[in-house]
Amino acid sequence: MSDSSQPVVQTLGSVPQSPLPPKHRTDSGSHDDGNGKLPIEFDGNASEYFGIWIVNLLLTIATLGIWSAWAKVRRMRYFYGNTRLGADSFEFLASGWQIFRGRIIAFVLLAALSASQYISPWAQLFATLIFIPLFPWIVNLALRFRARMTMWRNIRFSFKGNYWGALGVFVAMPIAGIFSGGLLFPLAGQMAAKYVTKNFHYGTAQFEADPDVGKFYAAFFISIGVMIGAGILMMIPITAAIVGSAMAGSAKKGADLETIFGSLGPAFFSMIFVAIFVYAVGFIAASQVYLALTRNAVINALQLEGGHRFASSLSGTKLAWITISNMVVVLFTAGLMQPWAATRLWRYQTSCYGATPGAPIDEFVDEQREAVSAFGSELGDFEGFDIGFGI
Amino acid sequence: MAATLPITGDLFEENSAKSRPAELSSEEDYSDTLKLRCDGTTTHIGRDQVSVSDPLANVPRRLVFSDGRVLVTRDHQAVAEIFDQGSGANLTSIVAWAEIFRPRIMVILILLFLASIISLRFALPVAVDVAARMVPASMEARLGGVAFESFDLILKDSELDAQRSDEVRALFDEIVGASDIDFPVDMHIRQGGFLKANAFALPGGPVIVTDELIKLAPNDDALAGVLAHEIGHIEERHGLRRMMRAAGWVILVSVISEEASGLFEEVAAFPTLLIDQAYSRSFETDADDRAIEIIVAIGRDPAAFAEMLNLITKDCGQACDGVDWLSSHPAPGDRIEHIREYGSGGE
Repeated sequence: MSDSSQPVVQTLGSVPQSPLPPKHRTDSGSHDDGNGKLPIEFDGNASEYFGIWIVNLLLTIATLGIWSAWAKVRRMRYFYGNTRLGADSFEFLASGWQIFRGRIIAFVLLAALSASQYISPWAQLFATLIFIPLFPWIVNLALRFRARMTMWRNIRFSFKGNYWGALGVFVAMPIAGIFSGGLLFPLAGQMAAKYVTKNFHYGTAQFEADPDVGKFYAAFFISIGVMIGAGILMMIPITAAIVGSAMAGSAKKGADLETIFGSLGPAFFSMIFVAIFVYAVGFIAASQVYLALTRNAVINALQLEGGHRFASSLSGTKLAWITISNMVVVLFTAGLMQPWAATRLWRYQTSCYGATPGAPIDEFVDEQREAVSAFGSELGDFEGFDIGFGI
Repeated sequence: MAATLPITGDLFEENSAKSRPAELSSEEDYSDTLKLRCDGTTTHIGRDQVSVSDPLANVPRRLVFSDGRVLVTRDHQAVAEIFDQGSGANLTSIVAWAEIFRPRIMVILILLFLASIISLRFALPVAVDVAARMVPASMEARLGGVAFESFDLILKDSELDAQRSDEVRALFDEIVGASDIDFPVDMHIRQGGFLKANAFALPGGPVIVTDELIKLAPNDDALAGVLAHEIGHIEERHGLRRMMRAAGWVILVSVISEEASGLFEEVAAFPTLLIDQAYSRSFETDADDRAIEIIVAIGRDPAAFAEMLNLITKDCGQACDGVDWLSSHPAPGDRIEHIREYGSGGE
């Protein structure tokens, strides 16, 4: 009768490889590239996501923000559900209520923190100081929730980090980084990556990565180089602005600051604006380059118990280009092209990842379910931390 | 009902990544029992023993059986026929229906989106003002007290002579008496310094007036106008309401832009700033109106208030960006005109 109704999706075409014996063939059969490597593919598109996105926005506005919890679930389910590793897509399993409860708790805590400044300066100091030792616990909670809610082939991920590990890599090392004038930041990043990966599990199998610290430092210095380049470029409009205003103001010798400031024309301010824009672009480019190089380093070194390997080939320049052009397009369309931008970025990132199973992928086993709270993850989102995992 | 198309997909054992192709179909005669066929074995499953994930675009559906097995399928049509039909229209299915991309509907949704952004500008203050009513006056006074302590640190003591400052205090008390305020309000006179001729009211609490303002006033009626304006702010709890409106906007914008995402958070903060300025301007006009009412009630000349505003504008000069006056205020010319009209019984 009906045989396995696999979706009719073509692979990206086999690229001729050197004739090494393929790794164990996977059950899902036709989706690897001939060498056992499973690509990650994104099946979503901008117009499909647009419908979800605009309805999310409308309902969020209409409910003064309450719907945002359910909107987040729909967004995550759309992206995860349309992202396939081999033949199987990922799943995002959180319910709107879970996210909502987490947000309420996070909101109350943050409101209390910012209200403390009105009680007394001491109260605010106290509240801020309390936050620091709580931070590793919150980060662990966020990672645990995000992991637990992610599923592939009926097996959930999980995160089993402990407080002291998190304290070390998320509080102590960044502080050390600051005191070392930034020189220890790459090391802090590598240690954080190690901490997260070795505490990540897929079912009962554990992840592990020991990325090369040198690659983190290379990424660091390259991105600083990009910033320096942007700084040099920035000098052009700034020089133009200063020269221009000096010529205009030279007649008013002895004038006070107010008069000089008042006589600056629109040309001056637009040059300053250009300079700021160049700086912003440089900053984004530098951060995307750092992201690409470090993520490649981590994922290429990533292993999953059972001999499974992973690959990442992000290009910093391409990522920077996509991010910056996305921002410009979204800005000029008053936000309406955001779905296009989001799917474009996601598609590029997923196209650079892949996995090579070292054993049949149907041998994974999940653990017993435990309850997790969305609070940590939602607090992270409130504060703008990106504590997503992987993609 | 006639047999529907079977649902085909991958059947997973509980907690396992092992999957086999399987098929779920609805029995010919009893649509409450479903048949699960896998590897030649057939199981009968009650419809209420299956939990189905919500529909969302073309994301695979998960059917979780009560025995722990899971069927993952991309047969959306078949799932809809067997499961979604019976449950009728609920919120999730309506949302899923609305999300399907149809150009005409999308245009309507975009217009709705723009309309709702615009109406928020008026809706949010209403909601926030309700919340503001629940904030007790004592808490508001604490806010003002804390703010005053900061100002007190940077402002030098007044150099006005004792008689003049007593006169101003008496005038102030007269104005407070004519207002609706039922709690004591302090007035502090300080040297303005960089603030120049200025006066401002802190939430629920003290009013600060600068020496320069008192000296600038041609007569007590003019000074009364300024003081009455500040009292108006306290009466209507503008400080608190403005703060809460800004907070409400920040939260709303951050929630919306989390959906929109990809934008700088700073870009998203920009509309908050602009809207706050707009609210502030309307508060200033309200305070002006209140000032006129109080001045008239105590038998002083409202025209003097307009004249005072004129003097302050001139004194401030071009690069003026004071703490209260002339920042986030309506344009001075418009204000003076409005005050003159309101004062003479118009509007």
